[in-house]
Parts: sequence; structure tokens; C-alpha cells
Amino acid sequence: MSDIDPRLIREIKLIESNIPRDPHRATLGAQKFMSEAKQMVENVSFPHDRRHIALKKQHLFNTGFLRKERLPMLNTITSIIIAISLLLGSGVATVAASQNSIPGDILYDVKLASESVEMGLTNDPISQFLLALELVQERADEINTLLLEGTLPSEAVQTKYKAQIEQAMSIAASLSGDNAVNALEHLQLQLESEYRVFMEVQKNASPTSENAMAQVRTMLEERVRMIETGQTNLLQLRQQLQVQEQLNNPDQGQQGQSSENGNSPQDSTTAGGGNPWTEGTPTPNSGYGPGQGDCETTCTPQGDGDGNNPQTYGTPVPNASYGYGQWWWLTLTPNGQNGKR
Amino acid sequence: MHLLGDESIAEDCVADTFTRLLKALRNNQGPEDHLQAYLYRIAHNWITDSYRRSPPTPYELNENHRADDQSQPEREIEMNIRRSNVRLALRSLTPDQRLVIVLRFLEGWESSEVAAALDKPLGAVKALQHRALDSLKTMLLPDEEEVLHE
Repeated sequence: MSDIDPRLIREIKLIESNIPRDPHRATLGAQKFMSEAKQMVENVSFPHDRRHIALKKQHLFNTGFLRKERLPMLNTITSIIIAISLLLGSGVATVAASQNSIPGDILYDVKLASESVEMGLTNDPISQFLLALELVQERADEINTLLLEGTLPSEAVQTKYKAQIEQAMSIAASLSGDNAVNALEHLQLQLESEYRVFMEVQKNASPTSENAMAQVRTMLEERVRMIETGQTNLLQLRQQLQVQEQLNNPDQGQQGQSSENGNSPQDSTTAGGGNPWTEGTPTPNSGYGPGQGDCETTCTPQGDGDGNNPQTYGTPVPNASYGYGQWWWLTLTPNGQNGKR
Repeated sequence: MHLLGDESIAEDCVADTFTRLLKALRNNQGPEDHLQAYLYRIAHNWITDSYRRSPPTPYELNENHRADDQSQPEREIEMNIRRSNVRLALRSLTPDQRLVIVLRFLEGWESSEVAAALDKPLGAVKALQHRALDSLKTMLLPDEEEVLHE
């Protein structure tokens, strides 16, 4: 560059903009980007057959479940992170840093948004499930981090964890045949593992977090039961998830009334009083349903099935490992040793 | 902004660029690497298209140039004319030449970085740069050319 006429360079640099980009416009641009990304995800059906990895992944479950293929292109999340940071006019590190944020951090919303976009941009159902698994683990890790920091996991944090699990369940249930069963089994194992970690972390956490964590554990127990059922009766699980979806989106159905009457996470936590984790609909033979109290669709089964819960007298599905408080996996040691596996 | 010289058009360009990125990601046609360079290329194509759509507008004097004690209106006008000339000169380059000049001298990239981003050999990038600078010199520093010929 030494032989270049410096006057020419000076002339070119006349159009170099010294005015920084308007931060307000930059923020608006980033918001528009996120909005477009989400809208695109909703409007465009994903082209399964266009993905070259789709064919390779058809037998993924037979060849090692977690062997996630390395994409030849930039990782989608990396692209999104860099794109957002460029739009915000900040360094890539700013948005990348959000990936380690926890609820309550300034950058936590950026993290959730980038996750949401990444999920939306993931086309292949198995890739979606693998990502959903990672996000379930992420939410669990956030709760553990909060506990260790002495912070009570808020209802919103718990709700996000629950929603993430249900998303993973939905994706798993939407897979075909053996893939669905394998995915559900894997999700079950992960939730059991997370349950054990919660128990361990709870020992060192503040006693005030006990109520909140009891809710989380109850929610996990119910989800694991649903998953167990789903492994033997996929159709039933799909129906349960469908009803669950309606409960979670009260605007779409009359179930909204029950949400307003005590099912929101801000309400009471006891069975019969609207425990937010126990709003699961009692599908026949599901092994759970209304317990004691005046609720019909919102309670955790109480005791050992003393007659108030006809749903639990249904014929247990073979090997489903559910019943009246028989949480076999609660007996798992932190090392994962138990009689079943 | 360098090439467009208009903040609102530059914002449109940025918005369209990122929308195109999303569409590419959606179709699994995103960049294999060098995302930033990829975005530059999209933006640059957008600018090239906009050049085709609208002819260059001549610089016009207007009554809004301030004439207070602090400013020097005649200098401000001269600078604006020179900037306009630089943009016109860049516009006359080929798209690849223009992108090399923008990345090298306005964004401060090294030749090797430009070569990697454009997926061209280093020698090709240097040749593009050389030809572009020759053209720009002819257009932007005509006096010296005339002196040399004389």
C-alpha cells in the first residue's frame, strides 16, 4: 500500500462516515430482524426434503442418538448472534455473552430470543428435538445456578422450564414410530437426571427455596409419567399434549377460565388450590388426575389413590412404571444406579 | 452509508440485507464462513441494484447551508462536492473493484482478509485493487494526470 498515492486515499476517505449509527435506529433494526425471523418461521413450512442432512438423520436413532451432525455452514446460532450484534452496532461478544446469562440478567431476553430464532430456523424434526433437549438442560442449569446463588427461582423461571419440557415432549411425540419412542426415552432419562441434580443442589440451597423446588419436582414427576405413558401409547400422549397446549393457551379455548381461576403460576401451590404444575388433564389411564379437593382438572393425585382418583385405577400399561406414588426413578442415586437400568 | 450517502436509504439497505440473510439461513443457503463478508456482499449487491434503479443525482446547492460565524459555507459545499465525486467515481467501478476498495480503505481490512472473504486469491484481490485505484486516480486526481501528460 506504500506506493499508493496518499492524496487518493485521503480523497476516498472523505466518504468515511464518522457519525456513529443512531443507537435508536440500530435497536429498531435489531427488533425488526428478530420479528422478521419469527414471522418467517411461522409463515414458511420447512422443506424437509431440501435438507441434505435429513436423509442422513432418518436412522439417527439407530446409529447413536446424540451424534449431532456438524453442519458444513456456519452454525445458525452463530450467524444469528453475529447478525444481531452487527445490527446493534455492538461487538459480537455482547450477544455471545448473553448465552451465559441467567434469568434476571440484562441480556437474558437476548438469549431467549436467539434460542427462539434458532429453534425456528431449525428445519429437521430430529435436530429440533436435539435442540429442545439442550434448551431443557439449559433451563435446568439456570435454576441450579439461581439456587446456588441463593436466589429463589421465580414462577416465571419455573414456567419457562416447564414450557421447554413440554416443547421437547411435543417435538418428540411428533416424530414417527421408533424415533418418537427413543426420543421420549431419552427425554425421560434427561429429566430424571435433572431431578437428581435438583435434589443435590437443593441440599446446599437456601431452605426458603424448598417450596419452589417442590413445585418443580412435582412438575417433573408428572412430565415423566406422561412420557412413560407416551412410550407405550403415543397417541394418548399426543392427546394429552394437545389438551395441555389448550390449557397453556387459554385464549384458544374455554380452558382459559380455569387459568383465570387459579392455574396461573402466581396462584396457590397446594393441590386442590390451583398448583400451576398440576393442571395436566386427566386422560384415561394416564395415571394421574384430580386428587383430593374441589378441583376437577388441576390437581396432583394425593396419597396412594384412595378412591378419589378413579383415573389411577385404570389398568397400568405394562412396564410403564407408574402407579400410586411409585416414583421408581426417585430412588435413583446421584450415580444413576438403580434396579431398572 | 459510505456509498449511499443517505442515512435512511442506508437503513433500508441494512434491513433488506438482514432479511436476505434470514431467507438464506431458512433455505440452508447461509454462508459457510465469513458471515460479515457475506453480509457485505449482500449489501453491496443491494447498492449495485440501487445504482441501476436510480441514476446518479448531481450535487445541488441549497439554501440550507448554514452561514453562521462558526461555519464556512464555501468549505462545507466544497467538501460535499468532493464527497459526491468520490461516490460517483466508486459507482463507475465494477462491483468487485468497488467492494475491494470499500473493504480495504473504508473498513480497514487487510488484503488477505478481503481475499478470504471474497474467496479469491490474494493476487486477484491486489489486481482488482490496482485497477480500481488507477481508475479512481484518473477520476479524482485529474490535475496530476494532466500535468504528467504535459
